[in-house]
Amino acid sequence: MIARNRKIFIRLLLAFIVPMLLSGCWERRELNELAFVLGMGLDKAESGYRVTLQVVIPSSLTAPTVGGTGGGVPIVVTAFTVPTIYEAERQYSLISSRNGYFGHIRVLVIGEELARAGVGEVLDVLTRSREPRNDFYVMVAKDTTAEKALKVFTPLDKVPANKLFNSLDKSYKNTSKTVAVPLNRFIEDLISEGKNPVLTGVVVTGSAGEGDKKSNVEDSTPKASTLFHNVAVFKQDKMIGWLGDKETIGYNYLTNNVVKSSGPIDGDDGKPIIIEALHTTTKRKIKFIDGEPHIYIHVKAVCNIEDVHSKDNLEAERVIKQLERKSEERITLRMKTAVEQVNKKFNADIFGFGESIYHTSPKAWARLQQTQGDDYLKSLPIHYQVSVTINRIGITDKSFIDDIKE
Amino acid sequence: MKDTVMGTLSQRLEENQIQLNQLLGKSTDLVTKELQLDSSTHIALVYIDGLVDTQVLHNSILYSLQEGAIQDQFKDLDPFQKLELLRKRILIAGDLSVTHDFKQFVHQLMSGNVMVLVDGTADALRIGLPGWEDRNVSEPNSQSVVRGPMEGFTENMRTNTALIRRKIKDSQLWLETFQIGKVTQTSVSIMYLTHIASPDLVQEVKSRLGKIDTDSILESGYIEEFIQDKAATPFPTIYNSDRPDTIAAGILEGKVAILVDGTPFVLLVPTFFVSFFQSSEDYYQRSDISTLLRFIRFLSFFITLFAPSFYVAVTTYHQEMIPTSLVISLAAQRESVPFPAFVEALLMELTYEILREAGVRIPKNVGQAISIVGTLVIGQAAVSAGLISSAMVIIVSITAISSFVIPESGMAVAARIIRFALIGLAGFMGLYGILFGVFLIILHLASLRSFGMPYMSPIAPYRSSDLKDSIFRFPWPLLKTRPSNNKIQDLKRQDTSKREGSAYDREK
Repeated sequence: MIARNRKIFIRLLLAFIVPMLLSGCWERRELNELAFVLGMGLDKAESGYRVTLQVVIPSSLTAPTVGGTGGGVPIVVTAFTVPTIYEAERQYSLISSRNGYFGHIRVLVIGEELARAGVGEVLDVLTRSREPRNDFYVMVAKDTTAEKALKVFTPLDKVPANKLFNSLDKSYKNTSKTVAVPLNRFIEDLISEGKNPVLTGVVVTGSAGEGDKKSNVEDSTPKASTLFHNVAVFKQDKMIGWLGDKETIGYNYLTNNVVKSSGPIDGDDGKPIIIEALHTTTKRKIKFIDGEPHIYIHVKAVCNIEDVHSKDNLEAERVIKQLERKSEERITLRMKTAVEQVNKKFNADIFGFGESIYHTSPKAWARLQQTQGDDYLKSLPIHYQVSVTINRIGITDKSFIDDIKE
Repeated sequence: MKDTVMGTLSQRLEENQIQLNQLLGKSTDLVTKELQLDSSTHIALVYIDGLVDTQVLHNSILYSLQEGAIQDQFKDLDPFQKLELLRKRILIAGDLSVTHDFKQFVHQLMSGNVMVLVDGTADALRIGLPGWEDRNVSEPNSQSVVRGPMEGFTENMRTNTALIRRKIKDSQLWLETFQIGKVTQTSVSIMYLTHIASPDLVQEVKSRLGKIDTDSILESGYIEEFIQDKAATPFPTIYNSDRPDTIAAGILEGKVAILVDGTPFVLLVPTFFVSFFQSSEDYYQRSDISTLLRFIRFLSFFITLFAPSFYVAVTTYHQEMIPTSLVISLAAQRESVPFPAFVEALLMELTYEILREAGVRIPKNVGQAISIVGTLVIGQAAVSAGLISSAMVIIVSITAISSFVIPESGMAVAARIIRFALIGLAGFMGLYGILFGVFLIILHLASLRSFGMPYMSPIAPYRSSDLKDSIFRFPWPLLKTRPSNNKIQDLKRQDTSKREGSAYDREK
């Protein structure tokens, strides 16, 4: 019995171990044999695509004593004109001693021209490949090409792709004037029923021609730099236009994406008081009134007063209540204008109202599609309710401005 | 040789002397002191020089024998009666017994007894006078504590049993002694609490000890290898300690201690995996701290087991798992390293093992050289020469330091062996390989037994009541029952009645 068991055990063990030898060392890559692609740019070329790869040079980023030479340029940017995106990876090995590694892409920049022409086809390779993590941010290069945007040296974060990633991460949390959309969410929105995606735009300011020289980061004010501006609206996979800052804030309120947002409210004397929303939650409800879907938006915001030019007496409860009411009006206005502008200019449901209706009642969505077609947004009744609480007014109360002696 | 040690003593003193001289090959440390007490009474004191306390021998025994008054008493007695008289009336010092078996005679002679032969009788009187050079009870070296008793076992078994008895003053603490080793005739004792320890366990220990058939036992490690359940395992299934408090605590939990003469390391059976992560200090300091320290020990065990292999796997197979800035920093460090990470890890681990072994073997007065060579040459120079990356030095260092956190070195040694296998698996198959290794380790651990009891208890088989003093260490008032994994007879450790407020509390 024991002998038989042992025989079975040995056979099982062999069956277990031998296939493992087959996969031995498969996909083994040493760190110093890899070219880490941190930024990828996609542009439209006359034939096919122009793919830009921003590869980091690791030794230039660490102290000179360890290993490499230190200093030098932190990145090398290579661009290829290729018929398909995947071809770029093959092309890259023709010019580089190391294989490109796409597991650490931080940003994907899409040129405006390509974005307007449609991005569906170029994104497949990034979702199909094992390497990319799909949590990198996607953005559209406004009025320029992705290649140019990726070539700009940045002073603080030496790797430009890192700079773009981090600054988008910070800016959407601090201003709500951008949207941070990772690739997986972008594609989710693309394929989702009743929702259209948006992407933040990145622009190159200053003299773009100077950006790709190392001297760019040797001035206290870089000659060229990248910054986020506006938000691209997509209809299906084609970009159709840009949202302004105010509409973007409204969009973020409507989609519960506001972390922090600030804006001026006029005091009694007409001078501004800056109020910043700190904790904001937006709840969205669909109610059917007479069979017609109604959207109910309820925003709850906890705000702080940050900057006061007005002479209002902030110690008075009345003043605070008034400010709260004014803030509520302002947030409502932001959302209203966002919806109106988007309806008027693009007629694209970037807010996902259709998706919400579909989730609540697929039948109602189907009916809405039948009766209204793509124009359902225009007649959709939206009810706004905003409640603002002002939590703190800072470490002082009434502004000292009033007390300045003549 | 066997033949010569058989039989009984001869009635004639001379014959015995000749036989003894023959047997010992005229060894020069054999001392035979012939005495004539009166005209008809010849006696001889036989002992091995150096094994007996000569001071007591001279001051007490020889003095008593030579007192003039006793000579009258020997008149009209036959030799055996003379021997009895010696035993009962004259030689009062030391513990005495009578033997007539030659083999036993020789054994007792070799164990530090003074043998008294009386001409005309085949019996010999044994006077227990062991007195050899001994190390004093000193601080235990292998398992240091900050708080707790600072006495450790010595090479003398009698001292060791006394150290345990001083901690457990109970008549139920039984001590049994066997002679193991055909040539060395080493005394091996077992100590256990007869009302707590499982009788089956005691029986099993005795039977396993009885089965040992070897010529020599020089250290408890010999015994350990003879009586362990399974030889083919890197994990120790028998606990050893040179701390009397640790052994006493084990006995109180129903375990059996095995003491071997000539070594301060006492064995404790059965042993469980979690025992190796417990220090005696855990029970002397506050329970919250002890629990935290136990977690740290388990964590260290995992670090010492997996750190190098995990590093190899992640950097060569799963680069996407490392945060971007870290992977770039690691890549920069590896920039000029000529070896694959796998070879690098193996090289560094091997270097560390060599350094460690050298550190143990090296004479103390040249020990400093090794630390200079170790830290400067291997650590700094190798990195600045670009042979290895500094991240690897950090990994190897944390691995090495973590291995010293485990209180009993046996488990750390197991981790050292397995670590190399895991590095191989990681270099070969990445995390998949490590997982494969982990499965093998878990399967193996689950199959281990220590004296028939599951090694992984109380985790597998799971006994929630035993968790209070294995992974955790609950406060003493809550440790109402002894661990049940020893199959002990009496589980109750202390009264389970609720703690009532003291008079002081009530007043408030």
